[in-house]
Amino acid sequence: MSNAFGTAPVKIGHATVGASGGSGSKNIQAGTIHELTFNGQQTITIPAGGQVVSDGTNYVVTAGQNLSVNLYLPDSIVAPSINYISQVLSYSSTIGDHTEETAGTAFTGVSFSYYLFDGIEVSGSGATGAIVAIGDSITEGFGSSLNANRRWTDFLATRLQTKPSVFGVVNEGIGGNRLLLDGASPESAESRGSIATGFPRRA
Amino acid sequence: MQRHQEKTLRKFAEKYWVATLALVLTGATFLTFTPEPAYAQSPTWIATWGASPVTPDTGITIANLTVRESTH
Repeated sequence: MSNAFGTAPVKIGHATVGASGGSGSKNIQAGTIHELTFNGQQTITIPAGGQVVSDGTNYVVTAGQNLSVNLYLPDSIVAPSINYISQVLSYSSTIGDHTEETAGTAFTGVSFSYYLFDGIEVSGSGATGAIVAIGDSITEGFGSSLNANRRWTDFLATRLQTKPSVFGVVNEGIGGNRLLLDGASPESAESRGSIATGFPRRA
Repeated sequence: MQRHQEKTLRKFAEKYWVATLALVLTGATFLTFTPEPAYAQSPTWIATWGASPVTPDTGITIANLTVRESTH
């Protein structure tokens, strides 16, 4: 979870992960919700400009599986950090902690962006490596079908699953990305975001 | 004089041949026994998914609610 562009700390009151009912689904498959903790605690505060990684959880997933991450945010967050080209719907709930609910009925707000959500790491996958796709919105998936996982990186990942040597695919595309000037996102997005800081940790 | 040159050349060739052979053997040994990079052997290789935040959304304020987000 990332508060990369925040000017104030962000508190996560409760976090869970489970199997999504489908790409962009409001629902979570029954019996799949796992608690996420931070140094054994249910809550964590992300400092302004910082990020946190949860403790590991013993949750077996399959390649290409859509996961649903739920964050209860008890305090006021002004101008949260977002990834605005998700090409998959995210949801915000009515008041309260709904992180353990499989039904999506409380999630009445809809967004096209990811909020605070940074990444997921899966260990012991059997993969022999990962291919990191770096680029702009074309790589990130802008223009591909909503909730359909039709980014070119999705197709690449699917094809690679059929090969003897399994490689993961990490989509690090940033919409509006430029090398020398600010685009739709600040030039510093790379250094604040995934590539400079997150990638070494991930790969 | 010519005999001396031939002798010198033969010695040089022998030296060169030995050096070449040594180089080839060293190279072959290196290619054969250099281990795969550690990342390729790691049993706990980490596959990842990521969609890092790239900008603040100045249009909204979140308070006392839950966000639900799907990976892809």
